[in-house]
Amino acid sequence: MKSLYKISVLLLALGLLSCEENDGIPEAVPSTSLPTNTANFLMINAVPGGPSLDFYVNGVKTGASLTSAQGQQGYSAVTITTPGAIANTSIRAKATTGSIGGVLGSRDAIYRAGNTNVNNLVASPNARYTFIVLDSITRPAPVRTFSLNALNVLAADQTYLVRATGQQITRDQWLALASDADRNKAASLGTVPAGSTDLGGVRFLLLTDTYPTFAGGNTTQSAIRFVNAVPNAYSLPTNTRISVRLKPTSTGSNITLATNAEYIMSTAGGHNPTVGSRATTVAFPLRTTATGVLESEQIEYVIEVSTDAFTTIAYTSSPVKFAVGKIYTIVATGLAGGTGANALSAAVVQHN
Amino acid sequence: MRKILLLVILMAASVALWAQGVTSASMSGKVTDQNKAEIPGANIVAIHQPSGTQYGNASRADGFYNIQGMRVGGPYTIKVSFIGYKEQVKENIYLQLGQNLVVDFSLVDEATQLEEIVISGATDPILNSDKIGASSNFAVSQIQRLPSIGRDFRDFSSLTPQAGGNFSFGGRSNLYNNLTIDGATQNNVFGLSPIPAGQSNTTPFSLDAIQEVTIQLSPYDLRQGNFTGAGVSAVTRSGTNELSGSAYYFARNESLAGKKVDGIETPIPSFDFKNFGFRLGGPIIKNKLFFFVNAEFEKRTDPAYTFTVRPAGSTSQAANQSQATDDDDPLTGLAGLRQFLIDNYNYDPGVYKDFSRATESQRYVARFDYNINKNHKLTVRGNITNAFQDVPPSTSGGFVGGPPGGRGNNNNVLSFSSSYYRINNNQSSVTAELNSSFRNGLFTNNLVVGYSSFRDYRQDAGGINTPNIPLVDILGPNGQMLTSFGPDPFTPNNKLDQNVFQINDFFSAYLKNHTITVGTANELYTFNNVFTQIVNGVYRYNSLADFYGDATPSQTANFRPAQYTVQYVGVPGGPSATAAKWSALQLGFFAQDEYTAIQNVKITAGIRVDIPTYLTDLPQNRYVNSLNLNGEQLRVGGWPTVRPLYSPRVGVNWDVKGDRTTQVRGGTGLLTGRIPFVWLSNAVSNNGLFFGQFNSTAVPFDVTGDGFPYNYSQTPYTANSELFSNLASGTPQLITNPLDPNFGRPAVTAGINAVAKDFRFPQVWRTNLAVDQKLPGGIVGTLEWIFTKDINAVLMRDANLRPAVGTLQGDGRPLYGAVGANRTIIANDRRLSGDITQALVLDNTDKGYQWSVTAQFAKTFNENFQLTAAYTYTDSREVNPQSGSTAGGIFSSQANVLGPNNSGQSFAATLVPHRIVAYGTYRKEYLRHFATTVGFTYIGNSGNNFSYTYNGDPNSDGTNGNDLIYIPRTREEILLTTTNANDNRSLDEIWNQLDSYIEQDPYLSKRRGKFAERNGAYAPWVNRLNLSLLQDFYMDVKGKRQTIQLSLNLENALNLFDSGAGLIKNAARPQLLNFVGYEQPHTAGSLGQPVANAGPASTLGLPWAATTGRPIYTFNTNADGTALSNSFINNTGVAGRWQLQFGVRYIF
Repeated sequence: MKSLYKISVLLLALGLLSCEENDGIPEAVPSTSLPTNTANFLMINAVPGGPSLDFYVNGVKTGASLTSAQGQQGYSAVTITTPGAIANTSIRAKATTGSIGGVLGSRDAIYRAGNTNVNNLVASPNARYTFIVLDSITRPAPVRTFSLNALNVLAADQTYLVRATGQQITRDQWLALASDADRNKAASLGTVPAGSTDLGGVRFLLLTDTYPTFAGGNTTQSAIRFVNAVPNAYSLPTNTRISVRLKPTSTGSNITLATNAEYIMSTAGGHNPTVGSRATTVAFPLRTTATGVLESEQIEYVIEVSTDAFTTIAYTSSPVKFAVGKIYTIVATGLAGGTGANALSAAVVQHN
Repeated sequence: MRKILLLVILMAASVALWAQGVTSASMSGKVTDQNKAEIPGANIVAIHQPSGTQYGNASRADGFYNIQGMRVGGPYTIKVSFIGYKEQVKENIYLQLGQNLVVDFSLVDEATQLEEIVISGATDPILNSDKIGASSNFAVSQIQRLPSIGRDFRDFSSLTPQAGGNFSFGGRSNLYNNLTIDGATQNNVFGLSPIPAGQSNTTPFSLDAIQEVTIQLSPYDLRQGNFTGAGVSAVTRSGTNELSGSAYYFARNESLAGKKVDGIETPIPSFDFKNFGFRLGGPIIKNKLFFFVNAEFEKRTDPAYTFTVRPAGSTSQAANQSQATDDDDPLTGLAGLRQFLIDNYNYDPGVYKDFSRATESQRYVARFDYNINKNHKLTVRGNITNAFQDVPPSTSGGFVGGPPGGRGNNNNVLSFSSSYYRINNNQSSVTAELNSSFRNGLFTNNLVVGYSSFRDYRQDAGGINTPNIPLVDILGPNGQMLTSFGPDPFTPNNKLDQNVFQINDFFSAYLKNHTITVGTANELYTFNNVFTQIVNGVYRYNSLADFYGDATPSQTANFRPAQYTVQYVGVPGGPSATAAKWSALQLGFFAQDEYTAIQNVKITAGIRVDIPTYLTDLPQNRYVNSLNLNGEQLRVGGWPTVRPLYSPRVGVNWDVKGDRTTQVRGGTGLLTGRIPFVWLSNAVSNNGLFFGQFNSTAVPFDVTGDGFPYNYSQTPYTANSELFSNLASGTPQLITNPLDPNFGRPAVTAGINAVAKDFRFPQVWRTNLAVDQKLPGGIVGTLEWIFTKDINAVLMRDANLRPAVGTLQGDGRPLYGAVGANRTIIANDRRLSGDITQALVLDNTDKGYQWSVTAQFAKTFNENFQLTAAYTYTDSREVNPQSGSTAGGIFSSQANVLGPNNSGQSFAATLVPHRIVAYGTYRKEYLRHFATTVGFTYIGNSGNNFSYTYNGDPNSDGTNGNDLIYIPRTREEILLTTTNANDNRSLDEIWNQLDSYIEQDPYLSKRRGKFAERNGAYAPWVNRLNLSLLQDFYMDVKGKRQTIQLSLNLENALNLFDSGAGLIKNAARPQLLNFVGYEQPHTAGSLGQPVANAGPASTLGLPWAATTGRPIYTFNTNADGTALSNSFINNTGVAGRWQLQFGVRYIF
């Protein structure tokens, strides 16, 4: 019987010896530092009648608070973990106090990229981004009535909002209206169709900024681009479009930045119906705005905004100068025909 | 005549196809006189009292006797007589299934004793020389008295101390068990479910048809085989000399279930369960021929949708609501979508609310027992099971990733009823068993012949035929699935026909101190499996608006699907021509000896050989077989080499003191089992000839610019006949892309499954050692240790996966390359051949083991009062999950760090480390007309284990969700980003939330700075107490008891008294972090582009480079925007609450 005990002990020992620890789990070599990549962000508040806005990148307030028709001066460099296949850098604007109001109410304006309505900005290292918060907070949300016709949203089939009724109509329906007067009663919703997730009102426009190249030895030029952020600058007829120019306060020539420009959301971005945000690029044309590099050699201008191709001037800014080698964006804001907080205006931001 | 019969039996056995299992019981013992002198020639007669069936034998020269082939159960009366000695009688002897009960007799000469000696009572089933290995047994009395709300035999098998969850035992896969009924294999040998009709959530037989169930974990009786998990044997009831029967009805519904979960009122989905039937048994010819029949019907309805559609115009979403709305909202409106499909395609996709899923089964058993004469007894049994269940659509994407959020029913997605499917499981079986005795019991023979057919097929839910149209998945505004319509992608043409023929024959000779048994056990399998996944195509749209834009009438190229996936048929004849028709044979032979010459010791030793054999020649894929995959050439269409698998075993039972108070038992040996044959069938179907796989995510255009517009009437693509013939013979060539013969579209590739030439069926070396001790108070204590070492475990590997090309910065794991487009192999492409996706090879590994130690205490007060309690600690490790229905599923589910071909040994998915089992019954009859029976079962066990993995594929091995996470210690050790546009957390806030989550998690908090282990984390402990109460009202009518029995079955009783008790908790988010990309700078060359001078040349002559970009992850919030702060969530389904079932039964 002793042999049985021996066999038992032997089996037990063999069994225990056969137990092996898990393998396939090596020592980890984790990262030891936070990301160092940065991208550059700048925001412009172009919302007619809107409140003061704060700008958040990845949940962190970035740059100064902005009242309506005001832009941040210079970019803020923000650390990014990017790029990835999807969602990376979250962008939002929220009221400094209270709520944005209008269509969004207590909600924030959120930048939405891609076509699933939830993607973030895929920011690239060292890239420069200008975010313009625009559109009217008083504009009603689109009536999200199901309409197959409204889903055909190619460029020739933009969607229009009949302001009096809140009804959305297609471009074809809009063209079929009896007169320009009737057509003037409808605002373009750009390429946003009925049934989109576009809430109307406040939304983001993203401009990915590529700096121009100044000629060597440049002593007279700056770079100035123009963006029409006036939401009721209808695409037709022409007399409701926006014209903007720089008019010297003393000597020199006018610099016309735009004539009969459409609301930028009418043309910006893709066709996708589910995204309220839009993204595009606007080049920085070189302008001769000085006679020399000294501040005293910069020409002083006022910015004039017109809704009738400069027949009448709806807005004239305070005098402003443009430094040689510097890069600017001028944004027309407000509403055509607007008064008070909704009056036409122009914001100037300096990028570098 | 006897010799002729014997010869016929032996010849039949020698050529036989075999079967498995033990269907009866036996007795043996020794007849001596009062002086311990052996008495040869004593006459032993055992009478099965209910049926009058007599079994007899005479003691041999050494005084020993054996009686084989006895009915399970009892009571038996055993009489022993010999001239000159007083007859001795033992009564109330009960026999367990497979038991060889040792009953010794000591006769007293007539001169000494004048009165007949009558000994009453059963012999202890544990302290018995027949007990060697670990086993459990549940007799009909326990089956009737213990609680089982589902009337499922698995409720009893789970009371085996070494059981895990879901019908697994000893930490091994439930697909490695062998289930027999009356000796006939009843496994779903194809392996799509551990038991037949399991897909229909039913069992192959009614509890009322069962006499006894036995679970064997370490048998040393070589008649037991074909498993490396457990052998589960059931025998059906037999008729007796008295006509007896029962009719019964059981019911429960949601009104008899808990309304709260953990103190919170939680709506319970409505359901309705009914089970009813009858059994009848009796004599046809008294003492000669008996019958038993049982018919049972079960019907259950469950709501298809536990999350409901939001009301029309709803702008908010309640907790139990899906994001879908019951209107024509262009982004979420299902009513609008349904009407659109009706208007434009004349297609009604079905409903999305108020839809019930049906589960039904009908089970029939008929058995006839014929006592031909004293020496020959014949049993014929047949059973039929027809069952079906309506099932939600699969969440799988097949050979691509599944849709985000799945297709089932949750707070995102509500699929139309057209996407639900019905699985039908029809099974029938007939078995004949002949038990014979020759030469006065010197020789016995047991012959079993059986045939089982399994017919499984799918339809659309409701039992309607599946139309040949594609499935459409549509995402909602939150980027998760909104809805699906069209047939489940795995349902069209899906059918499986199985036939199992079996013959076994066991011949025993009883010699002095030896019982020699030789036998053969053989099974012939035939399969006809059609599985045409995604053959009608799957479209995925990013929004409902996108679908409308891509559908008739406004179909434009601007709204093409985000993904289009299709598997095309590569052989003429369409989907039906892709049937995997094949057959296999498993031969088994054994010889064993039960040796009893050593006093108080019984030794069983023998050897068995199993020979898996394949009978079908398969089509060869000469092109794929010609590829050189890192020096390996696949054998597509080739079977593994046929070779015998030997299983020597030896077991010992030692009665230490010779009085059955202390018993040491144990043994060691090899067990050989089957694999689920679907794993072999994968290699038959996925040979690169039958199917090609196509997947386009080029949104919205493909290379030709016209995309893949929605095509409602899409029928399966089929290659031309020339394609197949060219591949089957002649010059090997690539597969043509039938989507575009001019190769204008992205190329089609094929997934390949193959079997390694040296692949062997699973074998384990199993050893058990146990001590049984009679303790004070009549308690029998057992301490048992079982060790199992894998000899041949199943390993699934991808032969087309190139070794890692670098190291993932950020945690140091191996990094694989990306994939070139259009079959192009790029630098560091993770594939070796661009013509095939994965080449999954079924192979073996010797890694893996299981061991357990059990402490058990059992006391039988009397036949009406028994208690058993046990604790078991189990450890189980494996390389590769040993469960799954497809090669791809097995491969992709092995979470790893070092890559899927090098995933290493870790905790088994079936491991339940700690488990406590207790059960007991008590019955009291009183006032001459009443009897009350109470029963309880308690199982307390560790929660399910799981793996913390990334959602995504940071190591770029091509499989999502199989990369184990690194658990960061500090903010610097992980790169985090926001989840989506709605995520307003700062990166610091995200880290703080993740850090807090890790800290509160009992597993992760202990592994900071390390990788998670596969199946290393556990859900909390689960307590489950079930109670039964049977109240009998009986009276005798013409001498026969007539009983009305009312029953209550209370499932999860603890939860009734405290809604916070008896809970089942599941992991809230095993895929804890989402991988979204790599940090810049990222050396793209390692993942797609050649990089000059970047490293040693690959086998393709292209330079290698390791990526330098660290992976970036998101840590998502809960759906309501709150932080994920708890690792586990309560199972709010019915399983997590108390349930009460009423029953009424008439017994006569």
